[in-house]
Amino acid sequence: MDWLSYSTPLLQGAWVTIQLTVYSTILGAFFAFAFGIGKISNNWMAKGVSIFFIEIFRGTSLLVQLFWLYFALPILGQSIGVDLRLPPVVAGTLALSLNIGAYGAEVVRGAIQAVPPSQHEAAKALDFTQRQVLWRISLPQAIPEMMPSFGNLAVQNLKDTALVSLISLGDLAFRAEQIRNFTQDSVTVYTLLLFMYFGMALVLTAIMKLLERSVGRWRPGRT
Amino acid sequence: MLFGIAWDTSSNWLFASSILPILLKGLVITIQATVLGFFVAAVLGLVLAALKASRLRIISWPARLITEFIRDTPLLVQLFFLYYVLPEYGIVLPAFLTGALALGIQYSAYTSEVYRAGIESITHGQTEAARALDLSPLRTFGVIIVPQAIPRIIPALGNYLVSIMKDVPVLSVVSVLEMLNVAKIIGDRTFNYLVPLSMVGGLYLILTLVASAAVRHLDRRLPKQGIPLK
Amino acid sequence: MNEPETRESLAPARTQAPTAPGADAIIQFDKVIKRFGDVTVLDSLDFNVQKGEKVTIIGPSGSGKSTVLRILMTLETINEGFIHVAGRPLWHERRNDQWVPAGEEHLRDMRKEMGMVFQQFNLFPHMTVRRNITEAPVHVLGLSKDKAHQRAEEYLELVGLSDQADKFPSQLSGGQQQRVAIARALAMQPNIMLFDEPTSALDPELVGEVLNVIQRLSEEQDLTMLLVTHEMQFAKQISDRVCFFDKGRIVEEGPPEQVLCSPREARTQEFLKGFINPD
Repeated sequence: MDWLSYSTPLLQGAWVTIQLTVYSTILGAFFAFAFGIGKISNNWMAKGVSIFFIEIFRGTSLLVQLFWLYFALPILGQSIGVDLRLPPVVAGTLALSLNIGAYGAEVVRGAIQAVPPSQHEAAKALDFTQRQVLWRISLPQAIPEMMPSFGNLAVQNLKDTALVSLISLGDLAFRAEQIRNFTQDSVTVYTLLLFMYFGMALVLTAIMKLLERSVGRWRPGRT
Repeated sequence: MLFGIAWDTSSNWLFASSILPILLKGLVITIQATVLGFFVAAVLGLVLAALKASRLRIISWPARLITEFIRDTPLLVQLFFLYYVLPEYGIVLPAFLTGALALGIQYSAYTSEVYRAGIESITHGQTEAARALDLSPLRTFGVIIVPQAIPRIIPALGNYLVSIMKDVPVLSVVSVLEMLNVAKIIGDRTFNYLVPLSMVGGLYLILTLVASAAVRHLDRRLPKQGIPLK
Repeated sequence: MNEPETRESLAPARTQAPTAPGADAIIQFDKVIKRFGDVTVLDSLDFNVQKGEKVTIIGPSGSGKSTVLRILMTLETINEGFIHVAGRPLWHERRNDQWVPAGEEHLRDMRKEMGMVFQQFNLFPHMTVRRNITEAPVHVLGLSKDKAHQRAEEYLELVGLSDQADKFPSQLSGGQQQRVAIARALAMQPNIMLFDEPTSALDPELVGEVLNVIQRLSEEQDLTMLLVTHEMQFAKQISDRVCFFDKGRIVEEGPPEQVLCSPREARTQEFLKGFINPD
């Protein structure tokens, strides 16, 4: 039960997990908006690319995507003469963010389309261009709608980071596995691990709730 | 050679067609794990939902805490926990069952939410009407609430079935020979990961599309107002 | 997203020129037909408004009165006919010596002539009152932030809400929101103001404050105003002309005293029976 000595490597791993979560969630949010807006745009190329990525990354397993980017992509690169070997960090972040981006895209799309058409009419009457309507009128009203779902996706992303340990990225799960292999003390290590993830998830949920509230400041019932 | 089937690495196309039967064997395991995991999730979720709905705080609060705990911890870690810890307490399960159990537990947190939301979306006015007619609480629940909740619950559960299927590859870490694991082994031995992994991706896409279409079809066929009772 | 989706229903290009607009008519509808599916909402409508005229449109629901305003504001297309605004065709433009359905650029140009106040106010909920008013002048007309703020103050004073500039719409009453909506439309300084049942969504106590603002507008500003309303007493007060619409056509039009107090047509009389006699 020597869990104090486990703490250093575990905390190092936790730090990697946190960074991975932050980067992939932010990048994922970017993809979510890009694909979500792209899917409803009139530009057929944007629409096509968006639908392609959304379907691929929502329709296949995250672990498959991760393994593909890490193991298969380099081989594809070889055949076309480009070095596409991704270090575990890049492959992991990319897979996680594309995955959460694809799910987030549907949230974005739904929220934008939920903005009342009367808002579009009012904006049109004031002679805004369609792009102005999207960025100044629709998106600001859609974003508070997206936040609860984004909160769920962020926690899901945190959990998903554990999978990168399978491509030897030194995150929390990886470190825990190392310790367990060394000490064979499964119960302590895994219990500790579960509680550490639980703690991080609670913190993340709290942060997302704060974000949710600050974005919806103008809504009725808040000042 | 895997599962007794040899492969042909002479060209990419021959390779692909020769490993397809091997991948399909993995696919069978994937589907089995999905179904079993879903079953566990459905039943366990029901139990959790019932506990959470209890009016006794000493029952509902721990249940809610457990649900949250399950929901906020990774499937991978839960799987490792079960796989390595259970034997220390004398429970030795084959890897496949441990995997299905882990899937079931992870998703029971979600299915319990589905049950709760489905029931809660019906309750109010209906319970009041039933009480006005002097129906017993048990009858109200069984005959009034449940048949109306089912059309809302089933499609949501169906979506989680698809999600479970996408999480099955995690079971590869305990050597369950589901599709991704099979593909990875082929890749390890031939150094050609591109073909098997891409094929698995394609198979998953097909599976997801078929399963989602089935869920949508089921959704359409269920009458919105509830299971009709004559 | 929100393209004029019904453009395909517009009449094919006409080679003959539309009839020239009348001398002082700032709005001219020329045999305009508008259909929604199988229903003909505007039935070969001829309708003129003079510059600076205050016209009230009354009629039963489905008579097409709101549609007239929405067509002017380019929110709906037309199936047949021609519309001129300030001497220029609204829904058509001239390209290669032919009249073709108007493109988005032409429509955007024409929209600047008109401002609209909606029944449901349609303020932007995520912007303060001031921002609601200044957003379009800055990003559509290209005004500097300072000039836009000046304009906002000016129009907020006109509608009597100078002290509410930093509030959000959710913090205002319905009457206040509608007055902000009026200021927002005015800030674009259109020549024509369109009011689509501006008080129909308001609690009765709040109707007066909005009508007062509209009255003030009609007296102090040299605007052409088109008002769709059920407030007959008010219509009598501010209108130069009242038009009674029914089934997509003008049944009767004339000075308010005539149409509202001693209507000639049977249908007008029938319709007005449902209202307290505006004497």
